[in-house]
Amino acid sequence: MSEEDQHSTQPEIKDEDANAPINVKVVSSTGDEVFFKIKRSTKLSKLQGAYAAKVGKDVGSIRFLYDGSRISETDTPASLDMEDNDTIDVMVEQVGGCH
Amino acid sequence: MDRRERYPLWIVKYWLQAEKIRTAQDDWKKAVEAIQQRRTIESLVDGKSLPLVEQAYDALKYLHWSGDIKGFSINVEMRYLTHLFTTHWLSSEHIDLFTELLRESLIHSKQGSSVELPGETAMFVPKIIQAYDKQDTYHDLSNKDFRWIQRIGQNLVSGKKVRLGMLANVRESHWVALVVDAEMHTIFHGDPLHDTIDDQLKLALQWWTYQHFGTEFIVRDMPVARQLDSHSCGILAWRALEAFLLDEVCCLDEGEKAEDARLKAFLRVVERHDRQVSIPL
Repeated sequence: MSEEDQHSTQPEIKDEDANAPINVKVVSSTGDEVFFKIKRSTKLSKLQGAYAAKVGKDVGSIRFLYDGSRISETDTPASLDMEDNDTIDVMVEQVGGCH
Repeated sequence: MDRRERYPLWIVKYWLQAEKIRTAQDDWKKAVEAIQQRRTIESLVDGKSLPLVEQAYDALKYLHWSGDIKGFSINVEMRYLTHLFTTHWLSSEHIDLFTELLRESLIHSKQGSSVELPGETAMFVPKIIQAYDKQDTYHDLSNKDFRWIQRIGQNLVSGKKVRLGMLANVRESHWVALVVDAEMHTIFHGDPLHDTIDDQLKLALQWWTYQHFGTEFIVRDMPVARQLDSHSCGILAWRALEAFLLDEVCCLDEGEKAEDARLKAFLRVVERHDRQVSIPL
């Protein structure tokens, strides 16, 4: 591809990048790690479902956090500005009354 | 069961939904039963709590019992509110709602902008413990695992924030209040059981503060009402944290019942929910 071709297709390359898969590490509160590859436009709820299935838990009982904030159902890696090798934290609902 | 009987595939979804509704209904029935019981008792003893109980009871008349609570940045199912009427242990979902209420109170106070309240407060301490267990990687710039707790630490060091407040779950069964004070180099610890700080919690918090400040923070007690039952640590710890950060006297010390504090929390959540939802008259 000539340099000119590369310039003319730049917007297309950008689109591809927007959809390019990124690697995401999911870390449990005990430090266990599971790795996923996910397209930037894919809803993270898909990853959440896959993680819950892998660890054998109900997806409704776990919370997923990116950069300290809870991930919502509609979030995607692109909407959260996630980068390759970013980390998602997993938290199981905690209860307390007395010990 | 007739083994020859066949069901359409959608029935699985239907059963799942039906089970969810049944569970929520059961929770609400228990909540209504509990508040009705309190109404009766308060009426008989001419208790001071009767107006509060009536207010909470009235709120139930128009509140949807299913769906999510509105007006908060996180989606929490409405059924979690039922636990504020009973002796059910409070979960990290309640604590996150309470933290948002506290954040709102702080906005209207003079201390507001100087206080950091992590959104997922219950996750903050486990994350620090994770960092403590992987000390070698904490300052590794290529490691993104601890980015958000590093940012909070940097905000405290730079003076952008002066205090960090949170509720932490210890031994998977007990809520305590914590405030890291950057000016006083102190960790304030409020345990409703009036116990000393958990060893692992102290070690991890002192390690984390040392990483950012280079000095060892001391641990001091935070005023907190004493827990006299086996279920109120969550509400007591939250009230203590709120009072401490707003420089108020901890009102539960003045004889407020823990169950009243739960009802007040319920009404505050509902008030915020109502602001987002139009109520048909």
